[in-house]
Amino acid sequence: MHFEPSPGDVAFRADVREFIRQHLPPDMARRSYICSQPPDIGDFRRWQRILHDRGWGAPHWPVEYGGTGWTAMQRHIFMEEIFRADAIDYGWQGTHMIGPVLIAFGTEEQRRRFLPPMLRGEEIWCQGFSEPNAGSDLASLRTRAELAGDEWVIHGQKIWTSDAAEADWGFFLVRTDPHAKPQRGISMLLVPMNAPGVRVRPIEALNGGRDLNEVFLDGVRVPRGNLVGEAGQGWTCAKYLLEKERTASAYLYRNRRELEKAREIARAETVEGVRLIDTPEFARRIARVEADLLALEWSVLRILAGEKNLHDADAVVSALKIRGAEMQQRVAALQLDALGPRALRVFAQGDRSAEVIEGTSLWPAYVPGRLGQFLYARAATLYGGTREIQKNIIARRAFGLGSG
Amino acid sequence: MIDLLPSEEQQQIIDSVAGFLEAQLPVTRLRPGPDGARPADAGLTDALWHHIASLGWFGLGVSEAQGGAGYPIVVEMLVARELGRHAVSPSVTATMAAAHLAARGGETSLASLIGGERRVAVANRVSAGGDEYHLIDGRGADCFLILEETETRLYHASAFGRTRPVMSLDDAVTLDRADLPASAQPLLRDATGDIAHRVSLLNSAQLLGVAEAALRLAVDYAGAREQFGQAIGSFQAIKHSCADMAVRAEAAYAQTFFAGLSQGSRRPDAAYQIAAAKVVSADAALANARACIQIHGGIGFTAECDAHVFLKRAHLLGQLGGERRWLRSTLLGSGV
Repeated sequence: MHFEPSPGDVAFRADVREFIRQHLPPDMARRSYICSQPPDIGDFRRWQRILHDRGWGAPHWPVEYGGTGWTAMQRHIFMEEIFRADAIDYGWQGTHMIGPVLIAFGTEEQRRRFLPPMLRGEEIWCQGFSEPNAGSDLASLRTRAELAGDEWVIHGQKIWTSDAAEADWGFFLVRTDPHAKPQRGISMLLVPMNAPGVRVRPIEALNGGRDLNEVFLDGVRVPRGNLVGEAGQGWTCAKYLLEKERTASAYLYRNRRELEKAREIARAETVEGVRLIDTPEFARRIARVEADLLALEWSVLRILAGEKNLHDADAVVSALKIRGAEMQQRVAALQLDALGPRALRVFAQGDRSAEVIEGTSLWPAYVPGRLGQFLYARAATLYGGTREIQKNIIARRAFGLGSG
Repeated sequence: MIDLLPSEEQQQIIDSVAGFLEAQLPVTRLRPGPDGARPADAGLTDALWHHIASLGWFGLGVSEAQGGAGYPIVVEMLVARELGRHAVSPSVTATMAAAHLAARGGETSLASLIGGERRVAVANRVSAGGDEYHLIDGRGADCFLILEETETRLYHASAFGRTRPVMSLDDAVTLDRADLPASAQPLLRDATGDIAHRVSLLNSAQLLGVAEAALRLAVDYAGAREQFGQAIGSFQAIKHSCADMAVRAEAAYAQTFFAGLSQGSRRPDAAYQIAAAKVVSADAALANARACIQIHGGIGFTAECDAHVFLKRAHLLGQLGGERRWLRSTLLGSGV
């Protein structure tokens, strides 16, 4: 048992900080400060390109595919610096999710075709897993694909697909063998979103956002070579991918940055002449969240370091997901309470007016993004597998407790 | 003995109010239309306002001698609870409270409030000591009611300047920012705390209604939605969450109506009971709204599902008539 950052880590942090200082466009950082998620797609493309040019487009990938070969501590420091500077988190569906799956299960041809434009931020990806009747019960999905000659023909419907309208490509779970056991009959296909038969319908979210979509697949044809891994291996690929998502879903760095914003608000807001942060009640609430955040930080570092855990790895990542998601909601609630009665007013997502970007004395720049964040955070315990499903996974994988 | 259950007559009032609101202002009215737009006034038209006046809601608690129905505050709260369930504009309870304010001063404006000719909306100060206020559903209002700590003031709409529209977190109400100069004189004012307590109780009752409506919506969905070949309500993760919501709603009911009775009977600890009711009901409404979204899963995060209406309304009402961030200290200071 030991924990000791090396002298090299200190120099590494300085390098990363300096690079970000020189290359992060200030206007982008400002937008990201005001409303950090979901990030503006144009900003994401620009920032991904900047990171890629430095060789940092996907630090967690193997070096041969464009990764960095950094230690766990270096990857941790990198992410800390990214969020500290209000830079943009790297591509979720792309470099976080389908990238590692292609590296693990794809053909060399698929890797050569898809990984470079992903790294450069040129191709945006989306995910087609959930269906209207297959949410928590994902294995019951019904979208089907049949082989006709050298093409897969896809029929069905997906839901909760983020960024489907902007995406160039999607990775879809489809049923290729209706006779196999539910999980065994599922495959993963790569689908160009501009293929004939793909139709995207936006779903208005409770925060007014329109980045969630339904995707209809009506006789969509893709080449046989767009299958990831073997036919019937889709469930394995999806599990691998969701594990990657959940590790990142601790949202450690975002939570830390947002908690810092809560402090900023509490330092500026006063009631009856007293700074909120100087009131015992509010200081205590911040300290309580901070304590849990510290615990989360060490937990994430253990995963990053690949440390052997007492429990099954699936159970551990589910635990991180639950903690990270709930903390997003707690921090957002803290921010809202700190804003007090200002928090009746919401600002349009993507509002770039001077009042929003610069802030005013009555409406400082820490106000506009917080309510959107508060509403957006409701999704954190839903996406990537609901909190309830995560708890079932923990109970089953860590302790072998039933299936219910 | 304590009895917090409605009497037979009170139950009839509940049933008629609930029936009216279900027919005229169902929560489904707030869903976006095919063009994404919501109904103007969230459905509370001038005609409906006059209809409500004709049902006597604005004078429910005003004495019969002054043209009201002479009911105790708990009856007004029973109406407010139904308003909360249906996410109806807080202007309705603001007008009910303003009628009391006018009745105390023997004001001639009382009849026009009870009769629905004058409409009162809520104004809420944006930050302590500042001149800027949020006007909630203020378009077309004749007067604004401001509650700050134990003081209640009623202003003519013309007292506010530089009114400009902004987006409301709770999109079932309109929101404007406006300035109220420090020199502006209120039409009516009460510093005894009596009206402030009434407003707080009416807000708590609305929050209770929100908590109960979120529970109802969640239970209905848990019984209808199937995953893994059975209703999701059969899973403990879901059914226990529903039970937790019921526990919170029950606690909010008990504290809110006990606080109402304590106001009516002028118990010495009424202020404490009322502050406790606000805290318990606001927490119940927020927690139940959050749980309702969670139980709905992905669909709960959309504007097509009604669950978000309750989250936003819980948040709005929680900010009115006493900031959440200070309410707890009030509670600490006045009670223990």
